Formats: sequence, structure tokens, C-alpha cells
Amino acid sequence: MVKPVFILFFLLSAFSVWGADNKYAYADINPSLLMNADAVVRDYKCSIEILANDKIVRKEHVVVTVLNEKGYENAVLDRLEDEFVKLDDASGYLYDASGRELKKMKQRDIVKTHIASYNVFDKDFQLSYDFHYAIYPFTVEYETTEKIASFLFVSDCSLLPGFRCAAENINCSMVYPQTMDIRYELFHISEKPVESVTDNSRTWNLSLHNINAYVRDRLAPRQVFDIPAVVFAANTVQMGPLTGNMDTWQHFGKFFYDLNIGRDVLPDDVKHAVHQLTDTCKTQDQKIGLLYDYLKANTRYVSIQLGIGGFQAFPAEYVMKNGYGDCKALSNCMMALLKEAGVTSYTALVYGGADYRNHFIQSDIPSDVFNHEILCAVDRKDTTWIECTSHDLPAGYLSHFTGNRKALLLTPGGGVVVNTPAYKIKENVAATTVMVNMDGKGGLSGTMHTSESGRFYDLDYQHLYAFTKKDRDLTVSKNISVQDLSMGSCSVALKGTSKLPSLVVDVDFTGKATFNSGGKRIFFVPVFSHVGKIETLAEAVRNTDFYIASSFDVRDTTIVNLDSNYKVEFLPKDIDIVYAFGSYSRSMVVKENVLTIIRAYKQQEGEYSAALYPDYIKFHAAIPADGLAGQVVFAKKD
Amino acid sequence: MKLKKAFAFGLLLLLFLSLQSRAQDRFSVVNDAYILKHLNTQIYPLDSEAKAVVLYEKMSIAVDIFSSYYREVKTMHRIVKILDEDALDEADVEDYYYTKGAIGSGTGKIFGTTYTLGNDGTVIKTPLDKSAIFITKYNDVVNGMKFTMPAVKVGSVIDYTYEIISPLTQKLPKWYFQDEYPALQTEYEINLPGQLGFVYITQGKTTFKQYDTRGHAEEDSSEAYYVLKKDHTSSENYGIWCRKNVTPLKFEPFSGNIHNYAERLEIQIQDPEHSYGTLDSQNIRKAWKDFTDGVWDHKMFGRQVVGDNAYLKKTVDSLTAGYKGDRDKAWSIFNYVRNNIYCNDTIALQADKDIKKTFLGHEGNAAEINLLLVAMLQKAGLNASPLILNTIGQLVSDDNYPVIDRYNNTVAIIRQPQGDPILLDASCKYNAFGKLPFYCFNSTARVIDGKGGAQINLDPHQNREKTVNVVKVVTFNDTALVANLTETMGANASRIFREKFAADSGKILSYLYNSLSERARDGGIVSGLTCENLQNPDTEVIVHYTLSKKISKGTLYFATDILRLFNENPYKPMKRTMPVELPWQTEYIYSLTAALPQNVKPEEVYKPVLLSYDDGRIRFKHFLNYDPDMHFFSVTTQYKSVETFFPSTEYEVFRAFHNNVLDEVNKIVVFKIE
Repeated sequence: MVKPVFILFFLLSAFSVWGADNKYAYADINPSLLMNADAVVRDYKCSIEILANDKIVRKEHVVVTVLNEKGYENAVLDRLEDEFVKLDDASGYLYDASGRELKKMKQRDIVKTHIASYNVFDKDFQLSYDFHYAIYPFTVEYETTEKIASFLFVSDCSLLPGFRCAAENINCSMVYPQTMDIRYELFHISEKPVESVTDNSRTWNLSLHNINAYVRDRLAPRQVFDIPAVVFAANTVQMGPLTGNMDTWQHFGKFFYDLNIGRDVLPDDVKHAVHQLTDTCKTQDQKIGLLYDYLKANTRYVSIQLGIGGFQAFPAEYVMKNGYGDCKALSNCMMALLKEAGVTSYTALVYGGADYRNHFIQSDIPSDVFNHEILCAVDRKDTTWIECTSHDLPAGYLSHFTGNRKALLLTPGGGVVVNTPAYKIKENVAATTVMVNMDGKGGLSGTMHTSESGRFYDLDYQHLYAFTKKDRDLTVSKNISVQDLSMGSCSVALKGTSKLPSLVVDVDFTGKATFNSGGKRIFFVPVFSHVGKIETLAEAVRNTDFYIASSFDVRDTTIVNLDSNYKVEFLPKDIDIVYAFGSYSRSMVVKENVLTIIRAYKQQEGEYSAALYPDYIKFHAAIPADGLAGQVVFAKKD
Repeated sequence: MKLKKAFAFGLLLLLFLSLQSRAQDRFSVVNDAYILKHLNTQIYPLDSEAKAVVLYEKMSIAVDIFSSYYREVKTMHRIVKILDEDALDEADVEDYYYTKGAIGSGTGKIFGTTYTLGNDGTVIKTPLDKSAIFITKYNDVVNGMKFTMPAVKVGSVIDYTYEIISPLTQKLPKWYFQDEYPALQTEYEINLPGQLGFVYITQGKTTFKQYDTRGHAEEDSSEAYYVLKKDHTSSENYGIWCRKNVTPLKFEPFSGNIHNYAERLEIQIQDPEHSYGTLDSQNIRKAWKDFTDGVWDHKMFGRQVVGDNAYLKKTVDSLTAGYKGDRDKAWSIFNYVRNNIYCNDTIALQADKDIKKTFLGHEGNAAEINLLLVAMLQKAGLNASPLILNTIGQLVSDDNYPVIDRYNNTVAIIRQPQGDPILLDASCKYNAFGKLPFYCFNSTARVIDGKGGAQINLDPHQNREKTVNVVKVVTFNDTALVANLTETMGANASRIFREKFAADSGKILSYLYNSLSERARDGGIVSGLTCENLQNPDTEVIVHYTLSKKISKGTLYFATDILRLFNENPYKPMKRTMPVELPWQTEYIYSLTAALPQNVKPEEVYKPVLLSYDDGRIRFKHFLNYDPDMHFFSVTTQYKSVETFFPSTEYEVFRAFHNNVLDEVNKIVVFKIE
């Protein structure tokens, strides 16, 4: 009697395996979603439940079909774990193109490694899992539950993994106590969320469907998020033992200000030193300069991330005793030094780096877009910005690392959104004067005098001022397009003001132009400072506005004294082109065996209409790359 | 008497403790006067531009037994003078130790002091605080130790000591006597239990002289010496190497790996039955056999190839059906693997997972992919084996010293009864059949076959790169010059080009524009771009395009070499201390032909130029030819270098040779347009 039942059971089981629905078959994807996509999110659910200020549960369920090699990174589970974010549970599945399940992943399979960084110490770990499967297309499914101890770590949510990734279904929801007040802002999303209220809680729910892949556009105007995202701000945020309000930038700043109260106490010997240095100063600028030099002489940058998620600075006393600190600690210490000298200053949160286009204060909704801290000394009329981690910059000059952007000043009254100094076309200047003597065999000897400020100062300071002569010679020689170049003396001096320093470089050199055997002609390309490579633009047509990232003003004057046996046989045509975003001119004039070449190249940062893009392409094409098209020919006089 | 004895004992104890607290042996010269002297020194003759000077450093390795396990106790003592801000990070110290399978591993004593000169000339001492010492778990088997010295400024002297305990591995930490900063005194010491032996190898220009005691070496004022002692009665089994006044190692371009020239020491634990000290030739052979057999027997290496791989049969049979010759079979299997297995790491020595998973998942690192390839080739009856090698930029292997860390990559080799072996790397779909990527040609490689293995020479000399550029001027009148260009890239350039553009050929045009503006003289507009063989990795990429430029009546200044091997002398510095090391032999051929209109004539044509470097190791030809009857103008340029290694002693002449080559390719012919 048992046998037939057993056989029947076996047959039914087999049928259930063979006849099972295969989830996430590639063939089920809407073909329109495959355009420009290396991966397609089949389903993404992110649910955030706020149980208490320090008890938040985030559950994520993501299913991604990877279409090709370029989309492979979407198949890897990647999570960060630190003091405030812990992975509580995780599971995963791998499916083939037909949707058949191939493999499972459990939480114990996840690899946990410390993140290698420049920090001497931090508590950040990477949790990752890779199915190691590459028969395309295939699908991975991950489900994770994280326990998060602060709202700050759920405040922004990108709804797509990245570029070239489409999505079929996205759902993002947040459940929070009625006592909390949460604001939100949507980026690249036209749908509206649904908000509801129950007895004790509120629910915020957003669903999106059939989103085409976004393609990276390097010329696009800057945005904090280039792909669909939502940012939340809460009136109550807890971080460690501290609770605060982060619903506005003012409150956000107040929270971080309060986090560091009482950390500006200096040791007595340091206080004494401050007074010795500054009591006789007549101006605030003098005090700032002397104390900045004191800070630089006695401290250095070391990144040790301890204390409430790394947001709290080491006390000033610690910094002065040990001689090191990270950006928070050094800024806090400098603030303490200035305070002792009677100068008011505030630390400021900012994003440091060239890619700040995606990390800046854009909206009213505060979020942690910062990675750095600097200091701003204030008086009635002016501000002086200080980069406390640098030993190279004068007080008052931030460089392009943190210039030209918004920062959040942390004051007793709360956060204040301010602008850091702008370094625009007037500040980013490189002016070069070259005097060259050419003999009758193409031999050259000359001097070059260059003055650089702004971005040119930033680029060249280390290599010209701080390094050895060998490094200096190599850096300078890259700009001189002369054959058989031999560098003579090279002196570098710092000039300008503390708010806009400049480098002045004086060089003498020898070399040669191309000299045809027989001595009839000399071919000479008068290039002594490169404006940078002018790259051909990838796209010929544009339908959306474009953004030019930097402003500068480059001017060269080259004077060539010819051997009296030679005359100018050929001069290239003058160039003079002017557009809204930039201009380029080059003129060559010969008078009594003296050739004068004047070149000017300007570019203006900003957002420009797509209608101007054809002009932008023409501009790029017209500027001679490396000046090779500006060859001058000298011929021997009969 | 008792009191006297007690007093004497106490005195001895005090003396002993005093010596211990210094934590140095009597041969170091470190004391307070020493520190003060160096605090007051700002320039060191050894290197007047140094940003820091290592005053003293010593690594001591003591092997002991702890709960039946061998442990390696590493003690590092370092004293550094900071002379520039760029060297302040010498105060940040990091090391690591293994934890898995180890008992008693971790950190031991860690202490240090920063010395700085006060304004009044006194010495300010700031000790390292325990709060600045951090232990971090990197992963399941490795912990890291980091600390940062306090109160460090330019002019400070930092002095630190730390102890790290790890399970003993066969290979002890290597020691660089020569590195980024000059060193006044640098030492390495090992102490082993009597039942262990070791072999060592040194490298560098300096020869270490052996002494029976350190005292004798110091009396001799020797600047490079070593002492070895093995005494069965006293169980002494130790060695010490000392080097003084070491100049720094400085990076120069066109160097494979400057650490190949650094003075250094490597030690490997050996069975004491082997010769003590250095290996003799018989033991070298045995050592290599043991080495290759050991690699072969490793479960993530050779065992992968000979393991249960019946699952490969069906695929191999279908791939080789219809092919008769071994070479064709090999190509079919190789082509399958390179096209179907995604590589997540193109340089890898051993498998991280079973190759069956690589086969089924179509994903793996270079070692997994090539071990899979070997398994499949063997299944097809071919004499295939894994081949381990070191890539350019790694330390070269040493024929006298079999150590695994000289190897960092695994490829495949098929040895044929006749003819050259076939070398294969299926880790990239753009790797050609029978050709390894250029970075594999660094030094010698080892065949791993479970039968003692064999050595294969893979130096850059065997790598050849030939580029052929043909320019045909099709229109030449008083308004325009139009030329058709064909660039046939070398094998290495083709591979690199495919990696960049095979998946997205739309970017080639802008790439050509951007690179042509460097290479081609006088600008011009590119059109009519086509690429051949972009998807066929077993051939060279050929690029065709048309270059058009406007000209005007009168005089045309015509650059003879529109495309050049280089635009400026690549060997710019006037002097050099390292040899020039190139990754391949180079052959560059350029040909331009132009049928000139009747009204266009060259003003002069240069004589042929033939340049030869050092009896033809490099040859350069530059022929410009004008046939007035046919109105035909041509340029032929050939650069051929059969050498890849040029000692620094030749550098001045070598550089001057390339200046002459540049003068030639920069030549301009003047055409009169009537």
C-alpha cells in the first residue's frame, strides 16, 4: 500500500520541479528597456522602518538581470558596515537566462574585509558576495536587512544602481512614527509618492515602473544626482548619545556644531605661545597668518576616524600634544588658536575634490554631501578661509580643492550655507614672456618668465616649488616644445597675496629648431606654454545644455631675435575667434628681424545652451593642438 | 659576604636591565649623543637632496616554538631623520600578521619616541602613546597593526620598535638595504632553532664580505658584511647582514622594476640536510624540482588540472571534432576559452576556486582560466602544462633561488615534439593564439608538470613589435593635399587597441584625431575611417583613413614623416643611473609615395641617411627620393632595434643617437608650387 503512494508522491514532486515557473526570464524583459542598458533591474524594493531614533531597519530586495560584461558589477552584492550600519541578514539567488535557479547564497557566505584607505584607523568594512557567473544574460537576486543606528545613514536613496541600468519596477517606502516630521525631495522623478497615516505611524510610498537606462553625459550641467533618487530630512536624528534636528541646513549645522562643543581647550603652554605671537599684531590678518604658520609648524595631517562615526574632532589639546589630526581636528584646533587670539572663526563642512559637481548643496533638503572640513575666520567686513590640512597654501587661499562651491558654516546659531572663494577667469591666469635668440644654424637660447595663479598655481606648486631641481626642470621642460632642450637655471618664487598667491618662474634654456641641411631654412614652432590638450569632442550633436567646468586666462608673448642672415619666409595666418564661452587669438608680427608672437586663450565656466554646441565644436577644432599648425619658417637671405 | 654578593648581583641586574632597556646590541651606535648629533644635522653627504635619512634600522627574525608550532617573531627597530615635509609620513607605520591557523600570533612590544630640537637647543622627547596604536582585522586571516609617531616635524628624529608574531612560513620577510631614502646603517638578523636551516640570496652591486664575528667586521670598518654561525653544541644558528652608507634608489623612466637593482636580501627556511648558506649546483637542481613538484601538488594549482574533469570531455570533443593537427585543435580550444570565460583578474598565480566552477560559471581569474585551458588541452591529448612567470614590473626570478613570490602569473604552454612551444594566455579575449601579452616577458618562467618541470626563457628580447605605416598621396595640387593612410599595428599595439575600441568602435575616430594631432604634422582633417581585424585577435589591426589639408600657392613645407615613431626624444634626462629596459624589439616602417603634378617640384632632396648604433643593435634609415622624370616623390623610414636592454654606461651615446633620429624624421621638404 505504501509503494503506490510513494511513487505518486515522487511523480508529483518531479512534476513540481519540471513545471515550476521560472522567475525573471530574460525573454520577459520589455525590449524598450534594453536600449543603452548593460543591466535591467527587474525589481527593487527598499523599505525603511524607523522604530526609534537609533533603531532603523532597512530592507532591500533587488533583482538584476545582467546583460553583458559591462554590467557585471551589478551582480556583486556590496555593502558597507561601520559603527552605525550593521548587516543583520542576507540571502541571494542566481538564475540563468531562462530564470532557472542555479545557486543560493547565505549570509555566512559573505566576505567581510577591512576597507584599505589612507586612514590610519577607521571602523569601515566592506561586505561583498560574488556568484562568479558570467554566462550572459543572467539574473541575481539579493535580499538584505540592515540595522541602522542613525537616520543620517538612510537620508538619501539612489533608486537605480547607476548608469546604463534600466528598471522594470521600483518601490521605495518609509514608515516612521507620527511624532517625526520628514521632508523629502525627488530627483529625476515625475511620479508622486503616496503618503498615509495610521494610528501610530506615517507611511511614505513611491513606485516607479519601466525606467530607461541613463547614460553618463560628461558635458551635462552639474547635478547632485544624475539618476533617479530621493533625499529625506528628519526633524529628529540621533547619532550616538546625541539627538538633534536635521530638517534644515540650519539645524543640520547646529547638530554638528554641538557635536564638537568643548573640544577647543588648549594646553597652557600653547595659549602662552599664541599670546607671544599675536599680542602685538595690529590686524586680524597678521594674527591669522602667524597662527596658521604655527599650526603648520607643529602639526600634520593624519586621518584617524574615531568617535561617533568619525564626525567628532579630536580635542585641540590632543592635536597640539601629538602633533597630528585629520581635517576636523586640525580645523578645530586652528579655531581654538584663533579664539585664544581674539579672532572669531567657524569650521565649515564642504566637499573637497574636482568631482564636486555631484556632491554639493543643491536643495533645501540637507544631506551629508561632505567629505572635508575647513575653517572660516570672520570679521565685520571680510572672511578669511583656511585649509588647515595643507602645508603649502597660505591662509586665505583654498585652491580648487574646495574653492568655487557652497559650504556649510557651523555656527552657534546653526548651519549657514555660504560660498567659498571663487576662482574664476581673473584668478586662473598664466602669463608667459619668452625671449629667444636664434642663431644661423637653428640654435636657440632664451629665457622664459611665467606668472601663474589660481588653477595653474594649484597644478604646478608641488612640482615647481616643493620638489627638487630635477623635478622642477622636468615640469618646466614639458611646456617648452624645443628640440634638444637643455635647462639652465630655474628659479621659483612665491608672490601675489595670501588670498591669491602666485608662482613666478624664471628659466633659461637652450635648444634648437629644425634646421634643414644646407642652411637654407629654419623651421620653428614657437610653443612655450601648453594650454592643455584640446581633445576632439566625442559627440557631434547635442540636444541638451552643456557645462564647461573651468575658467582660465592664458597669455603668451614670445619675442624671437633672428640671426641677421635670415628673414621670415612664412608666417601662419593670424587666428582670432570669439564665442560666448571662450576666445582664442594668435598673431605674429615681424619687424626688423624681430618676430613677436602674441597668443591669448580664454575660457569661461558656465552652463550653455545646446544651440551653442556647434560653435563649441568649431572652437575646439580651431585651436591648434600643441601649436603645431603655427610653424614659422625662416629662410636665409640671398 | 652575602651583602656583597647581593650588591654585586644587584649591580649586575641593573646593568643587565640598562642594556635591555636600550633594546639594541652593542654594535649599534644609538645613544643620546647620537640623537643630538642628528637633530643638529640638516644635510647628509650621502644624498644632499634626501627628504629623509634612515639613520639606523634593523629587522630581527627569531623563530621559536610555541605550543608545538613554529612562530616567527619579527622585531623592527627604525630611526629616521625627517628633512622635508614630504617625508613626514615616515611617522605612519603599518605592518600585518597572519592569524589563521596560528597560536600566539599578534603584536608584542611597541614603543617609540620622537625627538625634536627645542628653541633653546634642548632635546624634546615625545613618547608614542598606546592610544595611537591600532589593531585592525583586515579579513579572516590577516590583522593589521598601525601607529603614528607623535609631534613629528621637519628636523625631528623618530625612533620606534615593534614586534609582530606570525606563524612561520617558509619564506622569511625580504629585506631591502636600498630603498627610497639613503641609509647610514641597515641590518637584518635571523635566529633559528638548531633543527632548521636556511638559504639566502643577496642582490646588488655591493658584495658582502663574510666575517667570523661582528667585532672583526667593525674593526675592519667594513660597510657590507655578514656573519653566519651554526654551532650544534651551543645551538647557535643565526646570521646577520649589515650594510652602511647606502645610497637611495631613484625611479627613472623605462625601468622594468627598479627593485631588481636594489640591494636586498632574501631568506628561505630549508631542510637542514641541504647545504647551509647558499645552495650548490646539485642542490639548486633538487631545490627547483622540489619547488615545481610542490606547486604542482598544490590543490589550487596542479591538482586542478589533474583532478576529476570528466565534465570537460563533451565540450573538448565537440571543439576538436574535424581538426586533425594538434595546432588546430589547440586553437579551437583556446578560442573557446578566451571568448567564453570572463576574466576578473588578468594577472593571477593560483586559482581561488575549483576550475569546474570557472567552467560552469564562465568566470575566473587568469590562473583559473589558464589552468582550465591546460586541463582541456590535456583532455584533447596535447602535451600542455601550466607555466608560471613574473610580469614586467615584478622582481625577476633568480635561477639560483626557487621562491614562489617571484612569480605572479599563470599562463599555458604546449610543448611539441618538433618546433617551438606554443605559449597561450586565454585570460583576455584579445590575446592572440600563440602569443603572450608583452607584460609576460620579464625573465625566466617555469613549466609546472609534476615531473620536475623545466625553465623557459621569457625575456623582452623575444617579444617583437612591428608597425608599418603606408601613406599614399592621391591628390596634390595648389589647393589641397589628400593622402590615404594605412597603419598596420604591431601585435601589442593591436591588442591594446582592441581592448580600448573593439566593444565601442564609435570612439576610434576621436581617438585618432586626438592622437593624430600629436603624430601627424600640420594638422589636417581625418575622414573615411575603416578598421580591419578589429574583432580578430589573431591578426594585426589595420586602420585606413584619409587625411586632407589645405595648401596655398607658393611654397609648401612638407613634413616627410607625417607619422613618426616618436615626436620628441623619449630619453629626455641628460643622465641616467639605471639601464634602459624596453618591453620588446621594435621595428618601425614608414613609406610615403606621391605622384607630383607637373607644377610641383621639391626645392631640394636630402641624401639618404643611415644611422647605426653599436654595430647595428639599432639601425635607422631615412631615404628621400625624387624622380624628376616621373615626378615621383617617396620617403622610406625604417627604425629597427634588436636590443631591449641598454646599460646606463651607454646612455649618453644612446640618447644622442635618438636625437639624430629625431632630426631626421623632423625633416621638412620644401615644394615650390608654380
